Amino acid sequence: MFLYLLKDLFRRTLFHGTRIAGLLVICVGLTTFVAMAQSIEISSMAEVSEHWRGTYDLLVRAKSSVSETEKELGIVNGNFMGMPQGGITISQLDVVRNIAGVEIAAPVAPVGYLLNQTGTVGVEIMPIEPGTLYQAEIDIQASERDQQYSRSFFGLQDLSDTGSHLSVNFSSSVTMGDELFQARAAPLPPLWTMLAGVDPEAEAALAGLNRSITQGQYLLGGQSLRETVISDRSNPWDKLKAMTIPIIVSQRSYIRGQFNASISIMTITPDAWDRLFALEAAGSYEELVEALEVIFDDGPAELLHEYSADWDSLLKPLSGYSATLKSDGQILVSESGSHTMRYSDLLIHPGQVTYISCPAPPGHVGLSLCVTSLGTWGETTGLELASNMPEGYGLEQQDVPAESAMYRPLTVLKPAPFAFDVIGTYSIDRLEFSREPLSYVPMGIYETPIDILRYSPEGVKVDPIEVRPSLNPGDFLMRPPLALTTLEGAEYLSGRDDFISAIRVRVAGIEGYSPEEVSRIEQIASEIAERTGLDVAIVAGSSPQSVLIKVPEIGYVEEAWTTLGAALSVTHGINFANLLLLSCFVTCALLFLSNASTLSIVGRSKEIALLRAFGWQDRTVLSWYVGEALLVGVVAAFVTVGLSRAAVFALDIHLSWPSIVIVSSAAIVMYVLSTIKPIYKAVKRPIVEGLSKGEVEWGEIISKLGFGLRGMLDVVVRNLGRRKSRTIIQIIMLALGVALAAAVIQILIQLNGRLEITFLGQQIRWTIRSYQVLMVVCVLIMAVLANLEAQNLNIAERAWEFALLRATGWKKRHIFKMVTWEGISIGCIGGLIGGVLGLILAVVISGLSQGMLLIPLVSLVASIGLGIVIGVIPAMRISQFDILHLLGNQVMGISKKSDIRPSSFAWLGGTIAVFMVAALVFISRPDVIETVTQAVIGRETYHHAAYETTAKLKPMQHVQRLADMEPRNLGNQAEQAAVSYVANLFANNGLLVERITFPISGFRVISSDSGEEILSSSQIGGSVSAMAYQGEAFEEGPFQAPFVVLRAGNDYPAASELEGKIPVVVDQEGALWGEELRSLVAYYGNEIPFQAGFSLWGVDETGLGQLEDGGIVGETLLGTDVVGTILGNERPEQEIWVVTRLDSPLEGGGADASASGLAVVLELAKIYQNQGSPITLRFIALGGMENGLEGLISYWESREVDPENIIAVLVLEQLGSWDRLIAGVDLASPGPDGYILPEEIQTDAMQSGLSWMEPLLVRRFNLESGSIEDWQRSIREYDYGPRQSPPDILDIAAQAASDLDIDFSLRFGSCDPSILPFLYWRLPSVIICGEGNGVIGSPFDTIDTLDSGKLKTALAFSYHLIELLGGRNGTIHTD
Amino acid sequence: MEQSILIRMEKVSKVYGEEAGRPTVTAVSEVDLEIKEGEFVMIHGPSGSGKTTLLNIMGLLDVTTSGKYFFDGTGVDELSENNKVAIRSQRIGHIFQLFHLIPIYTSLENVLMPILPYSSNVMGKYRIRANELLTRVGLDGRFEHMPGQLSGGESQRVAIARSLINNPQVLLADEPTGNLDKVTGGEIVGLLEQLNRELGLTIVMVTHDEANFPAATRILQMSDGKMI
Repeated sequence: MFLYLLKDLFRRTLFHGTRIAGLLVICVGLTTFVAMAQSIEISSMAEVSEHWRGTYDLLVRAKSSVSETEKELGIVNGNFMGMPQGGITISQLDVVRNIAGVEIAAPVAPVGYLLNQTGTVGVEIMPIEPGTLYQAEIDIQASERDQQYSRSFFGLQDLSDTGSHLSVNFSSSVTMGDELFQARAAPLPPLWTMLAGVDPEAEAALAGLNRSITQGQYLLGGQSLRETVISDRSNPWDKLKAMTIPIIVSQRSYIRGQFNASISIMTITPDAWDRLFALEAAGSYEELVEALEVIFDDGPAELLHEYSADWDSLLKPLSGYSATLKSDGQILVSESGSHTMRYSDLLIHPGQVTYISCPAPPGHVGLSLCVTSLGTWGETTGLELASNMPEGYGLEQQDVPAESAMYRPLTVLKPAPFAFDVIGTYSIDRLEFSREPLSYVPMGIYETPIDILRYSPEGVKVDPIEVRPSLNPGDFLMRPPLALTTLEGAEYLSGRDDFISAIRVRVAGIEGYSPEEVSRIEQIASEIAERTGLDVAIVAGSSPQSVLIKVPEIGYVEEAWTTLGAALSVTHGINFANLLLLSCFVTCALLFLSNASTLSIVGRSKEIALLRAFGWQDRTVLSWYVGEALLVGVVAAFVTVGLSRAAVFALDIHLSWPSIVIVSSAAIVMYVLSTIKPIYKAVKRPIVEGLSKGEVEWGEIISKLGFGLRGMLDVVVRNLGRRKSRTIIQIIMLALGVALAAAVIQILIQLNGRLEITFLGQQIRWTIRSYQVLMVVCVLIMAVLANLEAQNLNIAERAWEFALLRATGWKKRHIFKMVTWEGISIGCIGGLIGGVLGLILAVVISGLSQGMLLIPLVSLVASIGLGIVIGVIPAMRISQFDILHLLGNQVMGISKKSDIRPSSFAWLGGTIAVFMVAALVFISRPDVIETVTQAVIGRETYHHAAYETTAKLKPMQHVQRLADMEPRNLGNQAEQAAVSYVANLFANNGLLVERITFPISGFRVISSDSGEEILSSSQIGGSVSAMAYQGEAFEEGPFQAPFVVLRAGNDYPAASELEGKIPVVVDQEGALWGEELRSLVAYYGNEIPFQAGFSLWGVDETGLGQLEDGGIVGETLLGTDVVGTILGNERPEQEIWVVTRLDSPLEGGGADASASGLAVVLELAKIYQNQGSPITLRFIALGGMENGLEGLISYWESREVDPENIIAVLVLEQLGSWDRLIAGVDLASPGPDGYILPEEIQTDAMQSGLSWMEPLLVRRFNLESGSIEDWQRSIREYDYGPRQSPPDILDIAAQAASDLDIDFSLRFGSCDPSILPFLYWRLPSVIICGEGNGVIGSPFDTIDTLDSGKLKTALAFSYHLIELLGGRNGTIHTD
Repeated sequence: MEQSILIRMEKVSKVYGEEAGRPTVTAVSEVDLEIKEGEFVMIHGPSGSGKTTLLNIMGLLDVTTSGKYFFDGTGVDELSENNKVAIRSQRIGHIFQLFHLIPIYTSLENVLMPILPYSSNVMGKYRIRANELLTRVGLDGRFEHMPGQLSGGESQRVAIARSLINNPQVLLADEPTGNLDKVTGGEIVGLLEQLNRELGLTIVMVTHDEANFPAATRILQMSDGKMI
C-alpha cells in the first residue's frame, strides 16, 4: 500500500508538487519570519540596550518649568537648560541626593546674562603716505542676524603739517611721530554671557568639568562667599560691600562668526583736500562723511590690506579683548584686562520661547512647531536696558541691533553687589559626556542645540545651512552658559531660594537595558517626584528627535529635541508589530492550509467514492489519504528544513536547528490535521452521491440567460450560492487577508511615523521595514492564492457545465464574463467586510487617526482588484477547455487533454515565494545576491571592466580580520598584529615590502616588577602634547625607564638626576603645546641627559600620581608604516601612492576607519602585482595616525620625494558603507554638512593656506637632529602652493565614478585630515571616502555596519581611478 | 443442479427528498425481484425509470427507503456498515458507464485497486490473477498502459477485469456500453456474455440498448420506478 502511495506521489507530480510548494511557502515563510522576528527583536534590543542610556537618567524640574508643548508631546526642549527658570531649592536637591540609588544629582542653576566688557578694533597704518585718504571698512558678523558694519576714514595732506588731517569715526589719538597712524576704528560687539551655577563635585562626576580646566583652578563647592569692598561705578568714590563670586569661564565664546576688515587708499587732488577740510572746519560732519563715501565709492581705490579672522579667536567671555589691524596685514589680538563687575551691573533674565504647533511645509514628515516674535530689541529690552544703564556705560554698548527680533522675553535685573573672581578657564571640547547621537540628552549648560535651516519662511526647501546663535540674548537660539559659578554664587546673584532650574540624576548600578533596570529607574523617578513634588522625566531610553521650528523671518529650522521613552516605545512597537504580523501570518497560513487540504480532498471526492464502492473500509480510505498527506508533509518538511536553513544563513538571522524543525513540523502537523476533517466528511458521504456526475440544473440556468448585467449577476449569485460554504470560506479568507493587511499597513505607517522622528528609531528602522512589508505581502498573497485555488476548483468541477454551455451556444466571452463576475463579487463582499474589519482592528490597536477612514475605501478598491485577478485568471483557463473531450471520453471526470486540476495556481505561490525570499535576501544581504548573481549569470553582470576585474575579490575578509582585533592604537598588540598582517600580505603577493618604524607620542606605564602594562598615556587624563626622543633610543625598540614628573614653575633638576629616566613635564595652563618640554630641552642645551621625554596637557592629578608611583617604569612606544611597492615596468620613476592607515580610534571597531580603506589597498596591491603597472605604485599603510598623524609625517621624513614625479596620491578612507563616494579636497564644494567656504576664504586657502592641520599634530623633535621649531617650520613655512586637490585629478575621479555609475560628489573638509599634509607638501593628492552613513567613524563603526557590496564598489572605483591616472604621463603637477 | 437465489428484493422502494423536507421523488417503487446464480439479467427502461438506483441498491452503494433486500439469503438492511463493506469488497463487482479508472495508475494497478487494502501478504497471487483477468478481457500486452493511453472499449475492459479481481458472485454493470460506439459496445457485451457462460458469473446489467438483449438470459423492464 505504501508503494502505491509513493506511486501516487510520483505520478501526480503536478498535483502533489503544488501541495508541497504551498506547504513550502508556509513552512519556509513561518520559519523565516519566526527567525527574523527573533533576530529583529534581538538586534533591536541590542541596539537599544547599547544606546538607551545617555549621560544621565532622570531630568528633574519644577512643574512650572515644563511647558504645555512638552507635556503634550512627551518631549524635552532642545536648549531648556540654559534658561534661568528656577523652581528648585537646595533642600529639594538634598532630598534627591539622599534617595537610595541616586548616584549623581547634578543641579543646574542659570542666573542670567551678564554684559561683557568691550574691546575695540584698532587700525595701524605705517608709513602714512601724504596726500592719501585711507578708508577702513570693518564687517563684524557673528551670525546672519547680527551683522555690523562700520566705515572709518583718515587722511593727511602733508606730512610736514600734522595738523591738517582728517579723521572720521576714528575714536582715539593719532600718532605720527614715526609716520605711524594708530586709532580705534570700531568697538568689538559686547558679548552677553550667561552665568550658571553648578555643583562642582557633581559636575565633575557627570561631565568631567574638573578635567576640562585649561588654566587656573576648578571651582570648590560648599564654600561660603567671601566679602569684599568695591567701588560703585556710578560714583567711584563710594565704596560698597560686595560678595566675591568665584567663576570659571569658557575658553571659547561659542561664536562661529567672521570678522572681516579691509584698508584701502586713494590719492586725491589738493582741491579735493581743501573741500574736505572746509567741511570739517564748518562742522558739517554728515556732509564730510558723505563726501568721503562718495570719493571711495566712485573710486578707484587701491586695496591695501584685507583681514579676516574667526570670531572665536577675538572674543572671550567676560574678558576685554582688542584686535589691531596691523600694517603688515596681520591681526594682533590682545587682552585688555580681566573682568570686574560692580554693583551697578545688570543681569538679563531670559524667559522661554513659546512654541505652538503649526503645519509643516508640504512634504515634511514629523513634528513642526512655530515660535512667535515678541517685537524687536529696540522696542523691548533695549529701552529697559537704556533706562537702567549706569553712567559710564554707553547705550551703544548694548550693541544688539535695535531691529533684532526678540523671541523670548527678557527681564532686566539688578543683582546684589558682587565682584567676580575669575579663577580659571575651561574648555567645552574637553568635557566628558556622551555625545552619541542616539543617546544624547540635553546638556544645555554646555552646548547649544544644532539648528539647521531647511525651508524658507514661505516653506520652500533651501540648501541646509546651520543657524548659529546671534549676539542677541533674546534670540530663539541661545548660546550656552559660558561662565560657571558655584551654587552659592548662583543663589546670591539670583536672590531667591528656588534658584535651581534642573537636576540631572544618574541612577547607580544600571548596566544594561532590561525590564528590571527600567523599573528601578522608574521607581527612583517616582520616589523623587513623590518626595519633592517636582516633575521627573525619565530620559534614559529617550532619543533625540528632530523638530522643525518655524522662526519668523528666518524660516523653518530643524532642531534636536528629546523624545522621552523612545526606547520603550521602540521596543514595544517592534514586539507588538512582530507579534501582530506573526499572528496574521499564522492565521492566514492556517486558513490557507485548511483550505488547501479541503479543496484537495473535495477535488477527489469521486475517487474516494470509487474506492469505497470497491469495498474499501472507511478507515482504510481515511488512512490512505491521511497517509498521503503525511507523505507530502514529510517531503515538504525535509525540503523546508533545508530551505529554511539556507534562508537563515542567507539573511544572517538567528534560528537554531531545533526551532526550524519545531516550526516546520508544526506546519506539517497543521496540514495533516486539517486533512482529516474533509476526508472524514468525504467517507461519510453516500457513495452514490460521490460517484454522481453532478447533474446541472440546466433549465434553471439557461432560463436566466439574459446577457445584461442584471441577468448575468443573477446567474453569478446563483452559481456562488450553489457552493455556499466554499464561497463563504473564500470571502472570509479574502476579507481576513485584506483586513489584516489594512490594519498592519496602518500600524506600519504609525509605527514608522513614530520611529522616524527619533534618531533611535531611524537607527533600527531599516531592520523592520522590509520585513514588515514582506509579511503583509505574504499574507495577501496567501489570501489570493487560497481564493484562486478555490475558484479554480470551482471551474474544474464545472468544466462539463461550461463545455455544455458552449455547446448550447454560449460564447467564450459569456463564460469569461460570468466567471470573472464571480471573482469580483467575492472581492467586493470580501473587501467590504475586510475594510470594516481592518478599520476596527486599526482603531483598537492604535486609536483613530487622520486618514484612517481611507482604509475601507482602499480595502474595497484593492479587494475588487484582487477579485478581478481571482476571477479573470480561472476564466482565462476555461477558454482552453476542449468541449469535445469534456463532453466525450472521460476518465474519472477528468478529460484526457484538458488537464484541469485544482492547486495548479499554487505554482504561482511557489514562484512568488521564491521571489519573496530573493527580495528578502536582496534587501538584507546584497553581497549574497551579488555572489548568487555572479554564480548564475557569470561575468556578464558587470558592465565595466573595473567591476569585472574586482568581482571575485573579497575585501570584506580583510575588514573582518582587522575588526576582530582590538582597537589598533598606540602601537598596541592589535596594531602590531595589523602591521604583520599587512606586511605578510604584501610579501605573499610579491610586493617589495618596507617597514618604517617611528616613535609615537605616547607611552606605556608598566610594572617594574612584572613588566606588564598597567595603563597607557591615553588613559591617564589629558593628552601628550609633545615628545622628544633620541633617534638611537628607538632603533632597537621601545625605551624603558622610570618616570620623573616635572611641574611647571619648579626648577629643573640637575642633569644627572634625569639620566636614564623619562621626564614628563606638564604644560602650564594656556601655554603653547609642548612649551614646557621645549624649555626643558633648551635648559640642558647640548647636554641633554635623557633619551625621551613628554609634555602632558590637561592631565589630572590622579594621572600624575600614577606616574610618580615608585613601582612603575615607563616605556616609549613605536608605530610602524608598511609600504608595499610595485615598480613600474615602463616609467618606474613616476609614482602613484595609494595611502590608508592601519591603526584605528581607541573606541569602537575601527572597521570603516579605516580597515575598509586598508582592505581596498590590500586588494589593489594584489590586482596590480598580477597585472603589472607601467608606473611605480606604492601601497602605503600608515600607523600612528590617530596620534598626531605621526605615521604620515614619518613616512614623509623617511624619503626624499620629488613632487614632480608623483602623479597622484590617493588617500582611501571609510569605504565600507556609504550613499555616495566623495573626493576632496575641493575648496569650492560644500563640506559634509553642506557648508560652503566663503569665496574670500577659498582664495585665501588657495594662496596662503589654512592651518587646519595644526591642532592635529603632536609636536615632536629628535634630540639628535631636529627640534620642535624645525619641524613646525617645515609645516608652517613651507612654500605651500594650493591647498586643494588638483582639479584635473578631481575631474578624473568624477570620470571614474561616472564610468562605473557611482553616485559621486566633490567635497571640501571631507572624511579625514590625513589628506592635508600631502597637500601642504605639494603632492597632487586626493582623498576618497564614503559619505552618507552617520554611524561610520563613530564608536558604532563595526563590521556589522559595513556593506560588502559598497566596499567592492569602492574597490572597483579605486582600481579604475588608478587605471585612469596611470594611463596619463604624469603631467599632473601642483603648480 | 438447482440454481440458488443470489439477490432477492421484496417491495423495495427508494424515495429521495423525504429527509430534506423537499418534494419527494420516488426512484424505485415496491420492486419485487429475484436473481439466481448464473443468470445474466438485463434491466431495461427509459431514462429516469430507476434502473441505476435499483442497481446501486443491489450493489450496496445505496440503501432502500422501504422493503427488504436479501443478498445470498442475508438480509442486507440489518447488516452493519462493516459487513456491507465486506460484501462489496468480496462478493460484488462494479462496472460503470464512465469506467472510473484512476488516471495515475496503470491498467494492472487499477485492476488491483479493490484488493489493495486487504492484500499486503498476497499481492503476488493477486497480481497473477490480475494478469490473467486482463488477458482474459483481451488486454494482453497492455498491462502497463495508463488509462489515458487506452481507448474507451479498452478502458471498460480494464474496469471489467477490476470488477472481477475479488472473484465476485455478481457483477453489476451500469450502462457499460453507454459511452462506447456500437461495435465496441457489442464487444463488451460479448465479453460479459462469455464471462457469464464460461464462469457462470451472475451479471446484472442496466442498459437502454435493446441490441444488447440477445446476450441476456432474462430481461427486466422498468418504468417509473416499477418493474413491469
